[in-house]
Amino acid sequence: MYNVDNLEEKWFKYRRKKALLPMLSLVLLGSAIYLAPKYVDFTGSIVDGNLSVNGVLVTEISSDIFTTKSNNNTIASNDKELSSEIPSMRLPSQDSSSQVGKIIFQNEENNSTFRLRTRKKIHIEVTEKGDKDIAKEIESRFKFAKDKSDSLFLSKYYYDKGNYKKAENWALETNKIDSGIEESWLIFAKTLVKRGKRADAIKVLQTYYDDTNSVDTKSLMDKIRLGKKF
Amino acid sequence: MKKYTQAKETFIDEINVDEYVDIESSKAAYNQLVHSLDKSLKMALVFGIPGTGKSLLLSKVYYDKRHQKELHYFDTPIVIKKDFFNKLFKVLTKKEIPSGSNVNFEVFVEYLKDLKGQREIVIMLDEAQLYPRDILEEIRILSDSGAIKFVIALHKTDDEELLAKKHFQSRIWETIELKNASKSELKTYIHKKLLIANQFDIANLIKDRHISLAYKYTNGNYREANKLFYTIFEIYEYYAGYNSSKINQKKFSKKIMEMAAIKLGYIDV
Repeated sequence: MYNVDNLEEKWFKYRRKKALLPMLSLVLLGSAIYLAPKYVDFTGSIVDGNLSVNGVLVTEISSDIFTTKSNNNTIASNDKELSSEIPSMRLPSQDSSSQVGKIIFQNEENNSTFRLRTRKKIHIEVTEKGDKDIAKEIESRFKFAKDKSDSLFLSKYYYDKGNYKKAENWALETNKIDSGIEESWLIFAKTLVKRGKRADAIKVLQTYYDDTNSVDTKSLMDKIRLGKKF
Repeated sequence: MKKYTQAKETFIDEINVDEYVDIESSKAAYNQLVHSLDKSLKMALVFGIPGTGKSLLLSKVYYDKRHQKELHYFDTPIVIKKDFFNKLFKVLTKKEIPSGSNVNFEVFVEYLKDLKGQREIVIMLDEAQLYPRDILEEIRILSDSGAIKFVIALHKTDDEELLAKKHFQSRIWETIELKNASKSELKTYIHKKLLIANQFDIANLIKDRHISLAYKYTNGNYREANKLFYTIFEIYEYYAGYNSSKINQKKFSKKIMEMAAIKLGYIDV
């Protein structure tokens, strides 16, 4: 007979590893979502709070064409404020609310690329899609990709949005692919509580706890039993 | 503890026709092979990847039909030509070859031709891909005599299989392919195995989700499933003896399934 205790230790190691995977996937997915939108990356110098392009202080909109880095789509922006073209923008080192409307683009030599020389770098992230669109995109992707990170993301997303029925369904989808993802079990149980099925939630958690002896599951189960917030 | 030991032992990977589990696909293969014995074929081929039940099928047919037909089952390959023909001579003539003598192949073929119409002899060769080429060639000639029929079982994945198949191509009239179990077949198999061992309680605890997990690890291969469940019940047996608090009598443990999978290398840690 082999060493079962040693085998059990390996199992704990495996469970820990498995629990980390969805978290990592989520972080990666989150990063991907964060980074996926189009970028407008340009350099310019800030002089007294105004942007200087090629030594020219620019205070009015005068660009004809600028090119986004990600897809080279040209967007005509004659006399338009940039903020009206792009849903949301983020300026990590500058106050976007005071800058965005006043940023002016001037094409350098030709109309196809847009480059500004600078002392300071400013990154502008253009987010084209809202959370809703992303969720929809992931939902449609899930139909063929069947990725458990996607379904787990969606269950968390809908749970956060208060759409508990959808959150429950996505937790179930995750469970169908991999029944060993604890986070999915916990969300599923939480949605049940939110939908008034407290006893079912405890039953579900008890089932999972019997198999895994997970501390987090036990903790959530206790909270639900005692009617505490989770 | 005893019940886990019994459950474990039912999954020992050995050919035991008393524990043959009737499931839809194996029943079909069994019937096909039995029918092929009645047909005037020179050869029947049973093939499939290892662990799909070829040996068990041949054994089952042999044990069930050995009193109705003249069946001879060679369960292990005899790779030395002289030994092979000595054995063949012995099963067909029921006489020993005098020591120091060899079977004269041409005379042997003539002898078989004389038997045509008098006896219907079936030789079942397991692991036929392991026979050397020269023996395979002479098996082919023997089958041409019309007095002797061969049922040969081959591994599907081996190169030898291709060789052997090619060798017999023109003579194989019946082909029976055995495949891994589907998820529902695996469920039936596991449950029936446990029921044969009188472990109704344990069988009842094994639900679809456990079968899905077992299927994920074994891909429905019967040999792998036997190994998995043997190891699962070995772990159960250990806990029952040393730390019974770790066993939930009302639920089949996914944890123990995963531990067994780690032990067998289905899961890398």
